[in-house]
Amino acid sequence: MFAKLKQINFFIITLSILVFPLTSLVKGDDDLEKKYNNFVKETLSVRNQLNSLPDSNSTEVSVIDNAIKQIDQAIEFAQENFNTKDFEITEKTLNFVDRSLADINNSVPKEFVNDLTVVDMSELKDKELTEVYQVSLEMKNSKKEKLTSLVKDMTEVDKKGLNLFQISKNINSLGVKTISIQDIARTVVANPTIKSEVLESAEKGISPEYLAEQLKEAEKLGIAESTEKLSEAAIASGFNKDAMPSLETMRSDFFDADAHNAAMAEMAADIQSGDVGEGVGAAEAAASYTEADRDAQKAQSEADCTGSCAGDTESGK
Amino acid sequence: MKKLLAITVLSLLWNVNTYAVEKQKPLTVVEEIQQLGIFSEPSKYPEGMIEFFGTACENFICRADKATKKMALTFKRSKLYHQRKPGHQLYALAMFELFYLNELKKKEKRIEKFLLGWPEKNIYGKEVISLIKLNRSKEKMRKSLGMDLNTSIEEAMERYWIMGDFLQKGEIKKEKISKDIKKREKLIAKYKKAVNKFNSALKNKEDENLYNKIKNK
Repeated sequence: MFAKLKQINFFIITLSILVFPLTSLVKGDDDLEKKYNNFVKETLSVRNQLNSLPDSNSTEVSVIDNAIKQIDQAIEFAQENFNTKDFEITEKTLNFVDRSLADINNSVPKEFVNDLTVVDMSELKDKELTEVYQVSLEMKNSKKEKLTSLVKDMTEVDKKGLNLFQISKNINSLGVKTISIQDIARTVVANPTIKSEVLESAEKGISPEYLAEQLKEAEKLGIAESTEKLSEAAIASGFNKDAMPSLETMRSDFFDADAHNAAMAEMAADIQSGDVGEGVGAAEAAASYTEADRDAQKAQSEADCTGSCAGDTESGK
Repeated sequence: MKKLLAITVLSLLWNVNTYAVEKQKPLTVVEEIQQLGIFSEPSKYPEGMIEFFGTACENFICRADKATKKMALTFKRSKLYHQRKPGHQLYALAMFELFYLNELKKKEKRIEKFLLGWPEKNIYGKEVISLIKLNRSKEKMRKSLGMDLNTSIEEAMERYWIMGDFLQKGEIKKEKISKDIKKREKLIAKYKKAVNKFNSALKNKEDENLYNKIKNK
């Protein structure tokens, strides 16, 4: 009898050790599965709606339609990988889809355009000028980092069977400005450690001769950029340790204000296209949190805290 | 007993292995809470923001409430509105900073209670999760302008405001767009949103595990 009880006890302990972590993982996977099903439903619906749109004589419209069709393959590949539980490749493929869709969206003419070239940089206050300069510089760096990360993702996806370099080339050849061969060449020149594997993948989708040509160009440009940086630093010397050009330089004619304005316009477009949208959504939800919600939450929290929370008020005072 | 030990070790190894393939952002619950920051009233506000508050609203609570209302209103505006008033979304991001700070102030004591009880008890776990989520949003918003969680609130608000002013200085030009293009623009936005939502869920899988860890305590 005692041995039997011991066996039952052992069985219960073993079961709880194995089942507890499993249940929490299963819950997480269930949520993801639900989100995946919504994703499949939503993307399918959009694709059907796009396919059912009547053909247009406009070149602009047909460019958009054909560019979107190029994305289909990547979407299907992401779905196949999710179904085989390869979440990493699913995510990397979707990173590419996201960037491509953003580029296609940017190529679509907009009803309202904010023309920042009219801004007279010489009229900006010192603080404003410095901030604009810094933000556009930081955005330039962040853009480079994002591109490097995406090129790495594209290489990983190629190893699993889909050549995104080819898709990217097709979208570019339609006239949509997206990740170009020049971008890829510049990325590998700036990151020699990833050069061989990226080139191996890229060459499957892009002519090796053309790629070699672009690599040479990128190498030349790399040297030119370093020289430019040196002269920028020389101009900046005496201003501050971060090699910031002087305010006079920023106000002068040879300061590329247009490039900085373009970066700002891009930032505005990023914000509008929802790159910070998720955060905005959370803020919106939190801000529209009503008193009733607050009361319900307070009651729930008090019920949860078994006497040890006495004296606390909602405001925390 | 040996068998039990073996099963325990195997089970632990299995768990470690499952999480090892995920991203390298393994902050513990306590580390996450440390990232929330400590409440301290901003020492200065952007000039434009002070004008917006007006002379009758000078204390932090009034300013935070006013900013939160305005922020929520701005975020709810249509895409067309933001195209016509490109700087307003950035002003709203500056106001989000105050909103976050106010939430932190309101929940400060509860965070303390949570930390005292954790990991044995889950006291005010929901509030902690909601603050972590807000902090993540704040981080993402700041990142869009090259800032991070180490940037002071004064600096962040100033930068958002200046960039908002800068965008407002541009000239808004209206172009005529065909119906065909408009339809496609809407569908592309919908497509991008669906992709973005699911991709975020994949990226935030680890965050969800953290929230579940708190919830399931």
